[in-house]
Amino acid sequence: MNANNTLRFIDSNNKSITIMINNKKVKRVVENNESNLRIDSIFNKKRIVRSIDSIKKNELENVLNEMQSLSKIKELEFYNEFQKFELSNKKIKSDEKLKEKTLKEIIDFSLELNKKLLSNKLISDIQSFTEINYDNTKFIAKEQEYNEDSFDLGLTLEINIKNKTLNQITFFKSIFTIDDFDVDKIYSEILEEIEYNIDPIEFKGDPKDYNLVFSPQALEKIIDYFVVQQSFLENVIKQDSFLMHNTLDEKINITEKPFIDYSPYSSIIDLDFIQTKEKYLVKNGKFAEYICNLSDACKYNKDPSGNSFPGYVTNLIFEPGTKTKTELLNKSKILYIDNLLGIHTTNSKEGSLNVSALGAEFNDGKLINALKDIKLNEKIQDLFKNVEISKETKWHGNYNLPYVLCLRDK
Amino acid sequence: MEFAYAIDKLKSKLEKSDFYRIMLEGSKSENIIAKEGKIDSVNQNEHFGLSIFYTVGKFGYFYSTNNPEDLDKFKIDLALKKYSNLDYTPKESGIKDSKVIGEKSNLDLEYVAKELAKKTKLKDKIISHDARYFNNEIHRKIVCRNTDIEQTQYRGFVLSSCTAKENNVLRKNTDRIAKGNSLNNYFDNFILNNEKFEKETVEKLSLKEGLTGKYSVILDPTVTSLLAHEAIGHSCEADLVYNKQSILRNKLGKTLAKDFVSLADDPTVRDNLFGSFYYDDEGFKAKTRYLIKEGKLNDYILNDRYSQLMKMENNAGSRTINYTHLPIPRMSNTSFLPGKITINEMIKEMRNGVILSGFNGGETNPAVGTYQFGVKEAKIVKNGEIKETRVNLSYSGSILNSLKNIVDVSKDIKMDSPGFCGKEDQSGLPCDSFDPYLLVKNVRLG
Repeated sequence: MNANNTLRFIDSNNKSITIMINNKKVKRVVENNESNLRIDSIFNKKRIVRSIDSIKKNELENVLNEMQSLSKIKELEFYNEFQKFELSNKKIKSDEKLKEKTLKEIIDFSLELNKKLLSNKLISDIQSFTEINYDNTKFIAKEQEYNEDSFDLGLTLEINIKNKTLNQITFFKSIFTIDDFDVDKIYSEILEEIEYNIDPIEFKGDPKDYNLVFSPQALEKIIDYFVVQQSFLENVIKQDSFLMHNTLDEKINITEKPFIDYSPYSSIIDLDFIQTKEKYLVKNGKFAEYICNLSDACKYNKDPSGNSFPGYVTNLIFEPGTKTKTELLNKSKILYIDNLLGIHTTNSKEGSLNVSALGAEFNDGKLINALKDIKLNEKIQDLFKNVEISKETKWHGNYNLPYVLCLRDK
Repeated sequence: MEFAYAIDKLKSKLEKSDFYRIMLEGSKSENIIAKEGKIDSVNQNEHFGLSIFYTVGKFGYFYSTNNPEDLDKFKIDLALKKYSNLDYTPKESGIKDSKVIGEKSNLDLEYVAKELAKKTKLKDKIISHDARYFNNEIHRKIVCRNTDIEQTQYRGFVLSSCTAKENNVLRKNTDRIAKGNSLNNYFDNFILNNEKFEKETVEKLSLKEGLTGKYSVILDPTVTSLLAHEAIGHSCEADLVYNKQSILRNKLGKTLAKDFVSLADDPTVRDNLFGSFYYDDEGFKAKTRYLIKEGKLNDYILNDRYSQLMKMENNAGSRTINYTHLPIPRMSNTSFLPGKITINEMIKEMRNGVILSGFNGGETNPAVGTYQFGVKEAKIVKNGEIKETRVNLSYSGSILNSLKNIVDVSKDIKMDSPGFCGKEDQSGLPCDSFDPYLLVKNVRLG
């Protein structure tokens, strides 16, 4: 594989192991091994990208011929050559002790966690998925190669809570360091999530009569649909998203931070060989910087932002505030929104949040009832006009998020 | 097929196992994205891979790779045996067969690309327009000790999505076709429909958004398909039922709806439905599952494992998105079965209410039994006449109440609600429907 000004490669090898545990028993172990080669090329001033199984490496010439013929179908683009691949000197630390954990140790850890959870009388059943990923990615450009190894350990638990009526919560945890590999610590985090989900009743009131507190889990979906996906360069060029035309509370700051030590989502380079960079998506309540891949950058004649990733961003940080979660819940009548159903069906370009939610009702900080079928019909630009933000934050995937109180009156 | 040579070698390596199932998969796809008059991307992809599921006593392991060099190193590995808790004895169908669904595409890629580019040119109030074309063929071979099934499936999909804008009002609209066949006989009609599609999108600019309150509603077949698939179908998947994650657990034989309400999940290969197959991904012959029969919960969607755990007959409902995943109970083409009245008679019967049409996706929580759907359009009916149309609605409810509240079912059906289903980490599984209109009372909108 010879890279040049118009041809470069990403050679990736991934091994993933998923362990499915039903209550106290291992039910499935799944091992996947994938080796792929991503070919990024310019033919006739047009960019063609293709991913092949590594087995096809010896047929590279045929593949390139096919790619060249596809370039004839594309209309005129103006790629002369790839810009020089320059590596930043950023280094991201990873936890070697965590990487040394054996498969058996990880299975024992997951079993112990389930066992501890099942000793709690409120928990009736657990399906847990423990996923371990070992990745090796080699970026191959002209006169430059960069090798990245990553290790990622994550837990997903579907927990049935049963007192009088059944409810279910889903708990996600990315394990960054050996300190996170702690059954007691994760158990406490799960108990905190369960606390507001016992015996939910159907909500029959009007959410507009309440101030809303969003959990990090609910906020993750909102930030994905209403901030990250609205920050695409195309939306900025067309000015067709609510985010560009509205100002949220000035306390809201949302930043992409690609170089966080120990985070498996950190990266110094994106799939278009562009260096990642720290950037504000929302600064003091106002939309700040776009995100895009190389193709969109060329299309609109702008600089690429280093966001060519399947999930668009590396680590996304919603800046924490100064209040505690308890203080947020202590504001007279509160609807605590823990999870949202159907967010992909809403009109996010216009900021319309029309979803069902699970949560709880609080009055002066006292839990009244867990709730299901809370119907939200809100505009994000109105809802996030006047907020209070907790100092506690949680990771949900690559997002680090606080609890946010949305006050109805300014 | 790329790895076929490896079968004999693997069989001998697996000789000492109690059971094995090898799945070989080869896929070829073409996809095109056109955006605002230009061809944004053109791709042709080809992938091969294989998975092996084997058991030794109570120990089971699933392994996949796309690298044939791995197969030389492959061996039965019992390192994790102490954790073994296999709770069933895997069976095989013993069938040897070869089937093809659909036919190869004869559409020229350059022609498709240019047509899509032409049709996505911006005009009038249309501020964005893109179209995606996807043509795919998958060859799967399932091999056990006495089973050897080869199934080839051709599928085609095209999605057009545009946004109209006037002043500060934005209206997004989508149009699509997805078939369990190549689009040889469908693509040109889709292109011809583009003008109408853009016109409808612009017309939505003058329509008000949203509607709240409780109404009697008529669900058009696309919205009925959401109720059938998202709310009821998922709750009938045996893994969710067995693992206490479905509201329909322990309800077999119980009356859930009036006796004219029946619902089937039917993978039978017919009418180019998107979710059809001859054999499921464990190699068992596909069959129709009547989940609700004359108002009573009649069956679940089962695979080999859950049929044994639940002591029910395996109804071949095991599917996987690709060879890297273990097959699990999934839907195919899920629909209410037609009733006796026409849609016009249904509107007369409702007299006052709302007709909901066009689905915008949905999500369900089978454990709690609630769902949330997005709906494109609502026609408000007063005294049997359509008085106003609204756009961008949401519709939510409880699965059990919705079934109880079905008042009537039309005899007219439509087959235009194909989609991609997501479950666990397996999203993008082709599914379809052939639903009627439903009249439902006490539906909560907004």
